[in-house]
Amino acid sequence: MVVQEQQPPVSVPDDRPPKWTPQRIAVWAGIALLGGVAWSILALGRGESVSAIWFVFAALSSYAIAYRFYARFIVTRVLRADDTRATPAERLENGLDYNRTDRRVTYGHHFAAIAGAGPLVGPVLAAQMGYLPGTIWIIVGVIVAGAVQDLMILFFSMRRNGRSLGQMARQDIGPVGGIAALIAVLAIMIMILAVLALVVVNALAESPWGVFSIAMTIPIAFFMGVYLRYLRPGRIVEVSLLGCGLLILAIVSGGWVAASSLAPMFTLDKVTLVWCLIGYGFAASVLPVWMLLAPRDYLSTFMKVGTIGLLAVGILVVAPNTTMPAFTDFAFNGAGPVFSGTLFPFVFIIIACGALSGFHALIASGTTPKMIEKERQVRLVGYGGMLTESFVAIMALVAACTIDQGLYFAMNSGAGVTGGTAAGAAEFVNGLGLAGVSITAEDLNAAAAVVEEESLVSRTGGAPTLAIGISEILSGIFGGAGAKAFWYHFAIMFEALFILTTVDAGTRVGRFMLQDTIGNVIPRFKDTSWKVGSILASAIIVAAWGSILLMGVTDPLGGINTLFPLFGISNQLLAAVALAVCVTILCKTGRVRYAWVPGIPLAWDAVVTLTASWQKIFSDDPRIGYWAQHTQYKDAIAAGQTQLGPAANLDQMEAVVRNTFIQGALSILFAVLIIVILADAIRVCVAHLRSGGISDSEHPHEPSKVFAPAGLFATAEEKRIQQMWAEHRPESPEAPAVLAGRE
Amino acid sequence: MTGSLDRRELRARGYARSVWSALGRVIWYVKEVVGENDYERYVNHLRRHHPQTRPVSRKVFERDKIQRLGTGPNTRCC
Repeated sequence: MVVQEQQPPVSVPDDRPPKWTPQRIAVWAGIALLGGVAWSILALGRGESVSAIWFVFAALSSYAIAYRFYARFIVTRVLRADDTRATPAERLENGLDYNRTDRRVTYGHHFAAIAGAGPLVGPVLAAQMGYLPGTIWIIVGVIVAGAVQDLMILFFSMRRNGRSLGQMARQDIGPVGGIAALIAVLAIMIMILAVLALVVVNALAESPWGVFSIAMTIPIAFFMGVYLRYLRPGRIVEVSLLGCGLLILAIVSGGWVAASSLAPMFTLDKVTLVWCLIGYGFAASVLPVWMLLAPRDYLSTFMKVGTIGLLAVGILVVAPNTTMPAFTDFAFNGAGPVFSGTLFPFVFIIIACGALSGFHALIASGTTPKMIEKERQVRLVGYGGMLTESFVAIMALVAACTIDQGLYFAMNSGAGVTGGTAAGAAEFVNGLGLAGVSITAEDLNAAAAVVEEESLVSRTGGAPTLAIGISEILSGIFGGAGAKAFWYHFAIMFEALFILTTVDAGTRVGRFMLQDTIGNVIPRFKDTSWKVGSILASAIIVAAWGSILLMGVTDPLGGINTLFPLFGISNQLLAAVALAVCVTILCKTGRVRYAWVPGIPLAWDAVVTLTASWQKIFSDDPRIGYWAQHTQYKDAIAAGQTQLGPAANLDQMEAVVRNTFIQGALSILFAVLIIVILADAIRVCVAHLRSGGISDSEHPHEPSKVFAPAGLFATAEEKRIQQMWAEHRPESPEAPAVLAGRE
Repeated sequence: MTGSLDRRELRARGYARSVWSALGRVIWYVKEVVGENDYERYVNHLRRHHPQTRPVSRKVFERDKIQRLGTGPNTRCC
């Protein structure tokens, strides 16, 4: 008999929360106090501007308390994470996709995958209701809903060897829920691509500077691709830094191009841009990945993290004051020009990413679970990653709430009401009856001239507004007033870059999903290297989002106004799928007493989404209800009218009739999907509670043979165990070589 | 006099060293996140678990990695 050598512990024995020493009590009391003061200032401030610092304090102290107490409760009591259990990364380690990865690296990787343009755009649009509704939803929403969803899905997927959300829905809810989930994923993908592309189109239309610098990203990406493939394979960091340098050069030279005789060549209208984007999305989906997709992804990751960091520093240093009040009248009368509808339910629809984003469930059940080294690390990666994204949303909200209110509304009201001219916009905005807002056409022209744009009127979509906010903040530290144009275009570039990265990756993902689905009928489609199949599937996906995009830019009522709510609804629909999976799993594994943890956000999400859908489908108010608007325009055409509201001629009126039909039909589809998934999940839960049976689809317990700390910083106890491991295996063969001595 | 100079110099060297090691950590972290160390990790994995298998060259490895990205691309969030 061989005597096993004594192995150091693989988990912290007796993992109780640290003892409450007086210092610790003082620190947490201090955090709570600071948060309380910050929230009071935000909530009670009326009629005077508030410093951005209070937003930062309110957010960070709330996050700290939630992470320390609520997330810990979920991980230990609800999920019962167990560090003696080997994770898929340990059991299935293959040196390729299953890899035990340092927890901080997994966190960075996960954050880079979930953060995109969503948390930057939604809060900017929601700012029309004042700063408070958005702030409360972003912070409270992430704590009880968004981060909970990300954390639980990540954990459940990890316990199931990294299964995808769709597979979990099929296995744990059933075939009906599974199919509904599959349709929901495809639908949301197409809505996201269309709406994000619309944001880019609105930001780049008639802007030679923006178009030139974005166009330059294609040759830059191609250069990076060649470098990585032929010159220095795998040297991602150096080529990305090189690419970022070239990107800055492209932004600077965009200014020269805009001032030169080449400008007309890069001045494109919206419809032309739509066709460019459609061609681009198609090409990216069928071309080899190394040429365009992979290098762009690296570039946008670097830009994203760099700019977010820069913005955080900017907000702390400049500490701008808000110009937006806590609430505007639009929160209650629903007549806002940016999007129609009242605070409830539309704030919770418009701000999806940053508070609760169903899309994250796709990432939390994709690559990330295959990287987790120890189970308890899900708190840092899943919950912590989402808190970070929420903070990005708070920064976007601050940037939007600190620019001039008149300018904000002039930029975000559709061309149908402003007439697209500075004079028209000034008249419209002054007529909105907002306290303390008066703006002149000269002010608007001056604001455009500062950032060297032709006009800022009706630049809807949120990206240009955010770019103005960012340029105000960053020029306060770097470069002064003269650098505003640079920072504006830097911000536009930064948003457009990763929106386009989402567009090309999304088109490709959609293509594979479609090929897989069609492959069930025509097997040859499953072969992803088959040219005809890939071209056909790519064309279908591009046509789907492209047509919605085209509909959006030609909509006389303004595309963002009508499409953004649909985008939000589809994202919250996917969140409902994810949360329903979580509730079902808890019910099936005998943990029904904790079902409220995902259950409360699920109920809230369902109420919000269904109310919004109900209003979009049944409202009599043509500004809100798609069908009311549809009938209104149809009747007007039948009555021989040739203009109505923002639609100036018969063609435009017919466009409204057509668009509202498609939008109304999509609303119905989304609402039906939510109801089907909820009903199916409830059926499964009730059946399990009645029978009292426990069925578990997770991988059985296999003992772990490694140790790693759980949180961002190793505790004293964890350091002690790490030391034991280092002595036990001095050459540390079980830890990746690069990690040795890095703790 | 010289003693205090030496101490100052030593302290400066200490600072320089900690700046360097901090920078080293940042570079290590960035490389890990973007996956630049994947090849090294793969070679180590083979050496540990399949010592008889010869690892492919870095060029081939990176090519295959990007290829895998192409057939199962990472979704990027909104």
